[in-house]
Amino acid sequence: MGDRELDRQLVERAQRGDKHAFELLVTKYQRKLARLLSRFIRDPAEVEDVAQEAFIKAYRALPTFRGDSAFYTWLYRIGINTAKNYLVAIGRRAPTATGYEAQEAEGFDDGDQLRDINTPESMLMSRQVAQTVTDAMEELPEDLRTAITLREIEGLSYEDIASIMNCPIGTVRSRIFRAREAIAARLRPLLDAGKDRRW
Amino acid sequence: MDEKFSSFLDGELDDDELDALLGRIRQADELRLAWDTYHLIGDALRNQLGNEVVSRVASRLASEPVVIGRQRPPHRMRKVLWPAMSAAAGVAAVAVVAFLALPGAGGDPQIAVAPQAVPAIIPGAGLGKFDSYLLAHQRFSSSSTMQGVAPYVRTVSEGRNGPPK
Repeated sequence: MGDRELDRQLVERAQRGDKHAFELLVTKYQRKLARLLSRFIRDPAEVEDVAQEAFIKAYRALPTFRGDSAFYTWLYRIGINTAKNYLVAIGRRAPTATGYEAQEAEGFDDGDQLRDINTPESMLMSRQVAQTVTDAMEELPEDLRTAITLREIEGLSYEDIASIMNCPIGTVRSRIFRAREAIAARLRPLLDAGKDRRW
Repeated sequence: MDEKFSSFLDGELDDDELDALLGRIRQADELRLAWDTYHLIGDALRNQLGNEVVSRVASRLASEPVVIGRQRPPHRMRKVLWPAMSAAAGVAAVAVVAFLALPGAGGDPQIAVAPQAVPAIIPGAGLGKFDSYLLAHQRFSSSSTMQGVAPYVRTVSEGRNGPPK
């Protein structure tokens, strides 16, 4: 089915009136959208405001979404327009010189700019989360670490991972699940402690 | 928590399993939390940690009217529907062509009634000239749907009895 197909299924459910399905999409894309918006807006609080507004605009515009493009491309386009309109409204210019459009937004990776978009508190939490995940990854058995790396970082399908790791798809499914659970177990105490979650 | 949920997150379930799992997520906070945590792990591995707004969006969504629109049949239904719709279109096309090919069906019914009056406007015309006129305009006869020589026979026999009064 694939990741894009899952999004399509969730969008179709939301278009049938299932708000819950749209919330799953919000959970999935909130951090990516926030990082994208931080290209335009530096204040973390403003980023959150604009991200929230972009999601609401996307929800209201769902009946017009035809599925010609991926959901996240469409969402990022709404996010960029919302950010530009926000900057115009408060009398600031959008950074058009970067030419940052939705097509480029799909694969952007600006992890090095973590310091730019978080408050000191949330930056500390983000670093703790990142460090915990890194530590948990290092403790994973090699086959689990390889499987989740190929999935989460390289974005490969289970079939491709099975081919690379020379094992059945069922084994890939099991390894990825076990890797996630192992990392999640390390993260849970941190997540339970963090009331105001801003990663 | 199970492997199926992890596969669901990666879009690796078929439609039926996905529907069932989406139904379960609605009911179970544990699955919602796992959805959130698994995505957090993925974002952390990709160095894409950023601000979270889901709780704020959720509270805004609660006051939003439900949107309804653009429903497509399920993926599997489309696979079934497309060949059926193509076949139906083919049958419809054949039916239209067959209907048009029927004698008279696609002809000129609006002018088929006119020739009946034609002999009356040629008083005293010679019979030979009248025959040739009828022959030339036979296809406009109202009875042109009849096959063979019948229309001609009827019209000519009428002419031989003298012009219409």
